[in-house]
Parts: sequence; structure tokens; C-alpha cells
Amino acid sequence: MSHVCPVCGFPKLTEHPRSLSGGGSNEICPSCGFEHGVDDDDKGRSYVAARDAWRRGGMQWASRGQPQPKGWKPEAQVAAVTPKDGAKFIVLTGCTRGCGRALAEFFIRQGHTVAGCGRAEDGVSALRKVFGPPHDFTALDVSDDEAVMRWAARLITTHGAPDLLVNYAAVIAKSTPLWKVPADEVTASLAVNVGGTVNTIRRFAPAMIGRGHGVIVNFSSGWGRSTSPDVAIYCATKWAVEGLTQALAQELPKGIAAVALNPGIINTEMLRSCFGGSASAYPEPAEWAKNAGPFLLALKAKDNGRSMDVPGMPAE
Amino acid sequence: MSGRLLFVLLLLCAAPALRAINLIAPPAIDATATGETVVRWKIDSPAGGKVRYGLAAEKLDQMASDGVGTEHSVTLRGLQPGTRYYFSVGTARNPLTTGSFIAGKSGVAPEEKLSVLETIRRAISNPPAARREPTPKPIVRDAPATRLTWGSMASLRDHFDRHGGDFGAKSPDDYAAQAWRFRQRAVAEKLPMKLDTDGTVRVFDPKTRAFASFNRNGTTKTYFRPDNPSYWQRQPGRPIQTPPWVSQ
Repeated sequence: MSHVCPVCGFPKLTEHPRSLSGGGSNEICPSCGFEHGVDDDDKGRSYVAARDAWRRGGMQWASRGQPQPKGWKPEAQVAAVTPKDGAKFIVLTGCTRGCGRALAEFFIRQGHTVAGCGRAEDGVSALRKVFGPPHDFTALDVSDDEAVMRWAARLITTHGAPDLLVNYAAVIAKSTPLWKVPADEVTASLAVNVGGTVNTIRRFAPAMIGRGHGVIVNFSSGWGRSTSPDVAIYCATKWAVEGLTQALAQELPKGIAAVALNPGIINTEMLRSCFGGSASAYPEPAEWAKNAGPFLLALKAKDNGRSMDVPGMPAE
Repeated sequence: MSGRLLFVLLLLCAAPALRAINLIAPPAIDATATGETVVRWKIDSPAGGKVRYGLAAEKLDQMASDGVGTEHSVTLRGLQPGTRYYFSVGTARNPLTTGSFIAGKSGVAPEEKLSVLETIRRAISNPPAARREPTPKPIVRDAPATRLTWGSMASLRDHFDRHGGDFGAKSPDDYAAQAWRFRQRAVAEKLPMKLDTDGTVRVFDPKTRAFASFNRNGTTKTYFRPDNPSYWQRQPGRPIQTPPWVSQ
């Protein structure tokens, strides 16, 4: 299987430029000469800067060891990986399934560049097969701060600071009274829903602040503003998300916004674990994304500190 | 059969013999109750096993061997109890490491402590007595052919052009050979290694700041000296001590 160079669009790299965990392939693109895992991770070159330099140099075939293919058309290949004017760079956690995946697809089809992550390697592989460069999908657990650090450092180097950081990744413990929730599920819920949100903000926000604009969206829930029996841990984590978002909003400088967003009720795997068969009465993720996607893209600095709801979605 | 076909077949037959054999478990010496000495060791690819031994490190004039495999066990008989013997273990063709033992005692022998008179006597005797290090040390051998050590031959020229200067490499083959030696040293010296989800093994030497990445089968992907001080820290993968090409 061939892979696409995210710098010049050469479609016949022998390896994906990044392993599922984000490690560089160390393949030197024979077309543009960019070494994945070295030019970016060591030399700090962004894809845009490398692409522009290659263009300025006349898009010459770089390799001395591999011959230039017959009929090679650098103009056509580079166009496929060059974001369109006005395209946003969106970082999205929890993108391998449900609403996260639906959002990723919506953003990409609207012409934006998405860098997403999820814990499921098969889900990340599936996304990579459908959406190649400039989009970027990595397998990682947002509760692993070191992994988030590496991921953020790489994306900020290669793509720049995100215009939109969407903290969607979340888990839900078994529906049962608080005293019956297994300890490991309590730990995982706090680590992913709260810790993961904090990790990504800590790793991406400095670059967003440095650049002077950007929006951070922390996914909350109806249960981030109300309570129900049997979901106490989930409520605790989503109330925490609401609280940390409010405090963060007070800390951020002008130009940056932090928003807590209640997505409404959607027919996802998570909802089915709570609602059972009645979950099917609610909208599917793809349908939801048609409302949520434009709403997210329209968020501005003036929305800083707001607790918002995706419009047009059932709240109960 | 045409001459060209015969040549290709001969090359294919010769290819396994060109592969480097590496020691992955140093020799263990066991004395049996019946006065025999058993030498055991492991290598990373199947090959015949041979022990050469004798009363002087320079004169390993006796041999014993076993069959083809990666785990070898050779029994030495007729040794004089309490006498120091010197030995090498290796493949049928090449010794891989050396050492000494005392017949009738288990374990590799500690360093000999000689009196001044004995030292002088041995120095003037012919053949001279042992001055070898008692601890087994791998014998440094040249790197195998580049096509056996470099992962993607099509990429070698570009990697050499870009990184060969980091190590003063004089040619692509020299660069690939240096990367192979770094790989051998990484295992011997237990340099920091990380195993990625795709089987890639990344190695870093904090002293020389040399970095390499290898495919799961041990062939080289690249070898260079990173500039960024946090480069190694930012490499993904779980820390390992034994790379897949040794443990498989």
C-alpha cells in the first residue's frame, strides 16, 4: 500500500509518514526530500514551510537514489495536500467513533484540516484509509499526558497552533448507584473526561495564545448542568468540565475563547449504555454533526466563558 | 540449466550463510557429577555449535561440537579436574566469544592471580600462558553485506547523502555498516531502546547522541545525530531491553 507525503503530496511513499502512535517513519520523500520524523521532529520544519521552500526551488525531484517517475506531475500532487484558503486547522479528541467521528468527517468535507486522536487503533487505521494528508490521525489515550505532549508538540510543529481545539473524548462508567461503581471505572472516567481535557489544554493552549486566536471547546453534557441517579461519576466529570472551562475563560487573554458545550442527546453507543433501546429515538451522530459542525465553526472570541448547547437538538 | 540460472541459485543458497550470527546468551559452564563439563550458549540464528578448548588461550587445540540450532550444549570429556582450560564458542566456522573455566567447577573462571615468579615463568615459556581477559567478550567482526542490513536499498543513497557526514561515513556501504555496528553495540551495551506499535525499534546513545531506527527484523531505517535535545524524549514507544530480532 502506498502513502501520501503531507508536504508535497507524492502518493507513493512506502510507509505511512507516522506510525499509529505518531512515530516518524524516517522515510525521505523522494519527491520533496522531507524526512518524516527528522525534518519535523528534529529540525522543527512545518509542512507549510517545507512545501513553500520546495515550490520556491522549482519543485525539483529530490532523490539521488530513486529515479524520477515518468510523467511525474508535481503541480497536481501538491495541490491535493495544500489546504484551501480559509481552511481551519482543527484538533479533535475522541474521533474514532460516534459524534467525534461524525464531526471529523463533517469538518473534512467542508474543506478543513483535521488532526484527530482516539484510543482504538483500528478506528484510527480506518480513518487514515479514508482521509489521507493533510489530515492526521493518531492512536493515543488523552489521559496519558506524555503521549498528549508528544502529539501536541508534533502537530504544532507540522501544522501550527489549532484554530479550533475540540475536547470530545469521554467515557462513561457503568450505570449504577455511586457506591457500586467499580474503582477502575471511577479512575478511568476522571482520567479521561477531566484529566484528558486538562492535558490537551495544557499542551495546545500556549501555542494558541502565542498565535493570538483560537477557540477551545470542551464537551460537557446535560449531566454537566443537571443530575440523575446511576450516573453520578459522569455527572461529576461533566460538572468538572463546566467548572474548569469557566475558570479557564477568566484566565485566557483576549482573542482566545473557551466554551463548554452540551451536545444534546444523540443515539451513540454511550447513550445506549444508559438509555437502552429508547436511545434509537434520538438523532444519529451524522445528523447531529450537520448542526454541531457549523455551530462549532462559527464560535468566536466573544463566546469566551459561555456554556452553550448545540442548537436544534433534543435536550431531554 | 543455464549458467545464469545456476548463478542465481548459487547466490540464493549462499545468502543465509552471509547473515551475521550473534551471541544472545553468553556461555554457561556446568560441571557434572561424572567429571564432564557442559558448555551452553545461545545465538540469534540457527547455526552449528562448536567449542574449541585447550590449556592456553593461544592454543585451543581440541574441539567438540553439536548440531544446528540456536541453543547449544556441548559436553567436554576427559578434562583434568582443577585445571584451567581456555575456550571459545561459536558457529562451526567462526568463534563468537572466548573465556576460561576450571574443570570440575561450574561457572566461567575468575581472573587468574599469579605470583611474580609464575608470571615471569609464563612470560618466558613457549607457548606463553594465558593473558586473556577472563570475562567473555564478543569478537568484533565486520558488518554483513549492506543488502542484508539496510531496510530499503532504494533509500540508502538519500540517507547517506543526508546523514553520512554525522559519522564521517565514506560511502553508502560504510554508512550502513556503521549503523549495523551501532545496532550490535546497542544490544551489547543495553542502550536506551523504544519499541513502537508498528515494530520499529528506536535506539539512542546519550553519550554520543547517535540515534537509529530499525525495522522489526533488525534492518536499518536511518542512522543520524539529532540536533534537538528533547528528540529522544519525544520518540513514542515502550522501553525495551531486548529488540525483536534478538528475542524472536
